[in-house]
Amino acid sequence: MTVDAVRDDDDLSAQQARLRADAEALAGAERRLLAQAAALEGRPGVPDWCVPTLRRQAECCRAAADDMAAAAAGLGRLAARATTRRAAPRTAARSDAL
Amino acid sequence: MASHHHAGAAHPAEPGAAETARMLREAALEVSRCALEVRGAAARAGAVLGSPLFARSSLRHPRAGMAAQWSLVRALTSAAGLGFALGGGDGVLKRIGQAGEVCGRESLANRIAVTSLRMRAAAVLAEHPELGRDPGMRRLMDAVTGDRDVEALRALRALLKDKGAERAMSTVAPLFAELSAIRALLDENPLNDEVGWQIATGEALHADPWFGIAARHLAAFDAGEGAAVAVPLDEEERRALGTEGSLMDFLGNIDLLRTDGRILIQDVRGPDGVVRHVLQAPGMAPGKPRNDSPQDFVGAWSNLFDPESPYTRGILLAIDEYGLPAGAEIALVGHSEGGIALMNLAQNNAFCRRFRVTHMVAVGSPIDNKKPADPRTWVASVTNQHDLVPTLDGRGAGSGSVFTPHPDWYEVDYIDSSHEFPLCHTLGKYMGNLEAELAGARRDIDEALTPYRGPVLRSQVYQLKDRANPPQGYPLMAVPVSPVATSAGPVETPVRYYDSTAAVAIFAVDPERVAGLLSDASWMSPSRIGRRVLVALSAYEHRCVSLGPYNELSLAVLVNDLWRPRAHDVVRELLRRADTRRTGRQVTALAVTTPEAAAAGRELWGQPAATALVDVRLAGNRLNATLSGPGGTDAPPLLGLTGDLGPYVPAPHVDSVLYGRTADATLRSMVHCAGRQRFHAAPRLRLRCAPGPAAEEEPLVRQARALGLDGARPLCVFSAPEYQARRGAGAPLPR
Repeated sequence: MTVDAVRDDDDLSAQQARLRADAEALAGAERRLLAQAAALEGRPGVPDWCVPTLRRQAECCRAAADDMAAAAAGLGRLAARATTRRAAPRTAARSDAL
Repeated sequence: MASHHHAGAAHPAEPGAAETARMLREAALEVSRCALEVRGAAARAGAVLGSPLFARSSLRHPRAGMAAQWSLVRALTSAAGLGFALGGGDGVLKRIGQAGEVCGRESLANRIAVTSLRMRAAAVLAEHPELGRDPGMRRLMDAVTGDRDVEALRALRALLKDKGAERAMSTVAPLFAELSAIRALLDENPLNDEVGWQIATGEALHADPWFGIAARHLAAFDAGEGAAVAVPLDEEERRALGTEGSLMDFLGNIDLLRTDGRILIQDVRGPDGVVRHVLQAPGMAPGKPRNDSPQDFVGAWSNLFDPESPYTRGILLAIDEYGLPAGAEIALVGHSEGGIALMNLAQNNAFCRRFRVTHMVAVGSPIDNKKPADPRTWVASVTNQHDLVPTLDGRGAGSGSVFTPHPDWYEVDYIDSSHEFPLCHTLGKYMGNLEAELAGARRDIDEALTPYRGPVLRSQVYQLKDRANPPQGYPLMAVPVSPVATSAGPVETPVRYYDSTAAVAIFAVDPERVAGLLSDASWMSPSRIGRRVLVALSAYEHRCVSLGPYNELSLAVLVNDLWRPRAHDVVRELLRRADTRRTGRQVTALAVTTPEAAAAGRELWGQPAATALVDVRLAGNRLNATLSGPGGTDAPPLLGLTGDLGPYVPAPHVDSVLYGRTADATLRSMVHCAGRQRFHAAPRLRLRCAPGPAAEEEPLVRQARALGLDGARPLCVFSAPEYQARRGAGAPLPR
């Protein structure tokens, strides 16, 4: 599998945005898995393991979405710190010039 | 053009089972899409974690950076979340992920993909409850889905033991693709994961699902540029060939051709009077791969993954040779590997620009991952769910119509009462099913093939090969030839010996005895080794010669340079090429079995040739060379060189120079040879000459006796069971 969504020239904010989008995608996967579980529940002939497994995996998707959102937030803080650090010397230089 | 799926009625499922199976497959498709999304998200998160920018920023701001990195690592390794999902990234993280997989850690994406595959398997079990009732099959399913490799192996072994290989294979066949993919995703081998994903998501396979060996590596074994030679059918086959265009006739023709590398092209006049063409291609031959035919196991693998193969190239050459006009309408009908090869042609843009491929009918072929280049091509695929071969493309019964990428094909995926593989893969079995249980499908396909229903106007069979063979005897015999008149008719020179057996026995004799044989040419001196002179008795069985087959026994004395004789020339000269060599063998007596050979011996090479009964046999390590008298082979031979040749070492073939005499010149001829030669340093054979007047009348026997060879053992023997040579006409020397 190739990863084409993360480029070398992406800055931290772009990476944070992608992580957030992926967190939403994982939440979407959770909803779709739950929908499939609901559709199959109670159907004759559907194996017993099927619905619980789908639900369990949907829970994992939910947890993964939360983890990913937390990681995106962490990345956001790092991005903010980096931006502040870059901006600080410039501000100082401008005040010296004045 | 609708897609049709026929499920057999051998094991009727419960009412509503078909609806449950459809729902399970649709849910499996949706779940596999979720799995792909989870996989993509994990891969992107892994890429962020491994990005140099992130690492640099973390070093500059360790507090915030470490916290961000930790939350990403937690997201990618949490058992309650994405599982161990580092393998989706690149570089070092990917290696760590693969190492985790080797240690048995799984990602959430893989687990969801496995759930999708298990749902597909459940759909098959819903339609065919007999598979689920089979305890061996159930044990195998449990072991594979539970990632217990040893247990899975035991379950498969138990299946093989209980049912025998044939029934076990056909039992597994309907779930083969799913089981392979589940195993690929769950096992500790990270190399085959991609194939597991390809099967789970219905993509074309690019590697084998068991070891993850890339398709291009597998296809590399099927080498060759392809070749096609028009061949006739034998009388019985010609009578059995279909004379009317119809599905069963075409399949019957393919069955008739068997799997020996032949294909058939026919011209059929359709009901509208237009002449169309039908290409019919059989499948692979069972057994070991063969180098002479593309219809073998490696050929089938190659065709499965690679759109170009010796089979397709051979078919194109056959079409060229047949003279199919550009723009002609053509139907392709194939079984097994033949179906894959023809589908490869149908998906070739250049082929479809050249011809109008109207129909493609594949029986028992894994062609689901292929697609015709011309969207107008009508495609029919007939597969038995217990046949393992059509599942090799990763789409088995579990895929159903939900994962099928071509809803406009006419597909017949059925199950019959016989559960024996490979029997259910044979074309005869498929034809039987089409005649009986699948009569409706047969009628549908026949109706689609209506333009090809009519009298067959022309049939031509081609023998396909992996590569074209060089001409016989290449390169030794690739020389210009010219006819030379002899008393027995014209003879082409050089004389070419395509397939012979040779044995040359070297004897050491007293020089005084040899002097008598060479007395008419005082300047010809025998070569000496010490105080002895070397004499060669040569025995040949020439099975395929430009002169016609014959046998030969000859006696020759090794002689020095005719002008500047030096001691021990013979040893030094052996290192020289024949055309620059001055020593040689003076043939003093020659017995051959045909008048043509005798005439050539006398008139081309100046040798004292006579016809006689000569028998030469080299079987294993035993030589039996005899010269018989007028009494024939029933009487004791006049001369015999028989016995065990003893141990040998391989030796290079040395071209030889032979001398003969005419009334006023010496004829020098060269023998260029190829093949493997053996050197026997301690032969245990013996030369024997029969007593009596008949033997005395035979020059070869007389000379052998005069040389004291009766009862002698040779010093050494050179033998060559398979020997090729060419011998030019003798060049006259002024001596």
